[in-house]
Amino acid sequence: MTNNRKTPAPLQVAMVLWLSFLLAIAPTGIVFSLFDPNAVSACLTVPEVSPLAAYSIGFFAFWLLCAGTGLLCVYFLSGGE
Amino acid sequence: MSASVEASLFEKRQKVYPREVHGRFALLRVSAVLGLLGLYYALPWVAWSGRQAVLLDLPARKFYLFGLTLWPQDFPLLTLLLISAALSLFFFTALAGRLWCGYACPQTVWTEVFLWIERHLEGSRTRQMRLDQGPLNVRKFRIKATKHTVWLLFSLWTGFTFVAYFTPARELAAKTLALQLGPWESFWLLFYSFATYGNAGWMREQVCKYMCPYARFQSAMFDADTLVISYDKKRGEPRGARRPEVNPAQQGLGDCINCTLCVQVCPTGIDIRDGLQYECIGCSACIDVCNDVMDKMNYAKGLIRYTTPNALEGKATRVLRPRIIIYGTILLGLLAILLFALANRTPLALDVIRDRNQLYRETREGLIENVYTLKVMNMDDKTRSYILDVTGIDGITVHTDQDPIRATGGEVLSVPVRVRAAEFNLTARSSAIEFILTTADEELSVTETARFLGPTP
Ligand code: SF4
Ligand code: SF4
Repeated sequence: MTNNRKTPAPLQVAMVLWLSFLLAIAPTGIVFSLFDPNAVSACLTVPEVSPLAAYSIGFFAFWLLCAGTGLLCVYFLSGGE
Repeated sequence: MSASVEASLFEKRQKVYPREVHGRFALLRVSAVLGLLGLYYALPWVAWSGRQAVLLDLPARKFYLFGLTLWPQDFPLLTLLLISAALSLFFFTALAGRLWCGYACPQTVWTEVFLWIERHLEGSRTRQMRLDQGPLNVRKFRIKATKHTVWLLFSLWTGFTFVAYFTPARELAAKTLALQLGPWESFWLLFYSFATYGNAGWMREQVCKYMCPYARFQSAMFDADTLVISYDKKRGEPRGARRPEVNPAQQGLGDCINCTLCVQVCPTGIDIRDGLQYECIGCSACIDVCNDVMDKMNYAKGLIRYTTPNALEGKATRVLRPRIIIYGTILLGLLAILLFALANRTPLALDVIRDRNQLYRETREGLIENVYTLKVMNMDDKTRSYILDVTGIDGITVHTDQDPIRATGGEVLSVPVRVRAAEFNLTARSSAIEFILTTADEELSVTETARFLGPTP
């Protein structure tokens, strides 16, 4: 099976976003099974948010982190193009 | 997105217009699509003993899966389940190639539905191509607008269903109709809708070709004994057009009549006759269409067929090979662990939280007292009463105002307790003690350790 096709840049970005989306599910699951966002916000005296908001924000933080790493890697590996 | 923008974004992407196919495998795929999507859209509406059968209840931090209620404590179990699922994907891929891609992947399944809608509104492959090449006029605009509206409505329904796995479906429906969705519910609904619309309407085979990690692992999972869809070069070549009545052998021709139907039906736009390519998602559309051609020509079916690279070369195919045995053994092992863990899961958990305000205090009787809050999690469906005991120091006693300790099914109960011990029994400033919580019928029991603080002996 051969694959010598060069992936176009927008699709490289799409690939990073999609992969990091999938990967971000794991840490989100782990962190939120260990910590209840409500209990955490109570300890930190930050305003309480709805559970869905807390989980969503947590997920996006992880997604951003994974995607950021991936995009930087792609960018540097491409020689800064 | 106009065609030109699309072209510049995706590097001369030729839109693929997969031709409609009928046949044994098409039937199988349609059944898979209907079954899986039916499940996806219907499940949130299924009730199970008074609640939604499958629901990830975020506020309550519980995952309902029919009769099973999973708690955050059960996360390892879920992880094990996901690992087993990934491994079975490996196992089946090594055995039978991209069955997942061809029949079960959400990308394939939703794209298939979008293709049906497109075909219904725009007509056959040729008509679609003609419509796209033609100038923009009222008719074209009407057809395209209708198509995108239907696509979007279908996507919205898909997004709604996605959120219904987190927010009870009936509640969500009522909120949606009253336009009272919360900001995050609206966000996820639109996000998932947009992802469906973009992936199944616009990106299609590009997701498989460029974005999917699984597709990139193919070469690592395939070997010469893996079942793949393949064109029989020996039998087909040299290809060429001919009339049905001529005998191909006399003309020096193989069985391929070069009708290019196999290319026209391919959703990823490849020519299977060029050999095994990583773009092939194993949808078997080309098998169906070529079999029809073979029938019409009165040739034997199976010029394109499910086979293994070894078999194509006339060698024997080995089903049981090290790779399969290793994947299979690990998979069986994991499933056994999973079943064991599920069967022996204790639907009871205990957390001990020390009172932070005070290290210890001395009672009137001269005993050392520590205060804790116990979190009793009854992960069972029924109400339970518990007996609490504490060990670790001679003569240690536990006192609570809640007697008996009773928690309804699914309840998390806070129980403040006072633990007392005589000072002369303490051997250190901090001693380990154990709380033992047992159900009244002695069926279940959990133990949790904690520290008991006192003055320096
Ligand atoms: S459908 Fe069959 S006969 Fe037609 S071009 Fe493809 S392989 Fe040849
Ligand atoms: S080559 Fe055949 S099996 Fe592979 S994706 Fe195309 S039509 Fe489907």
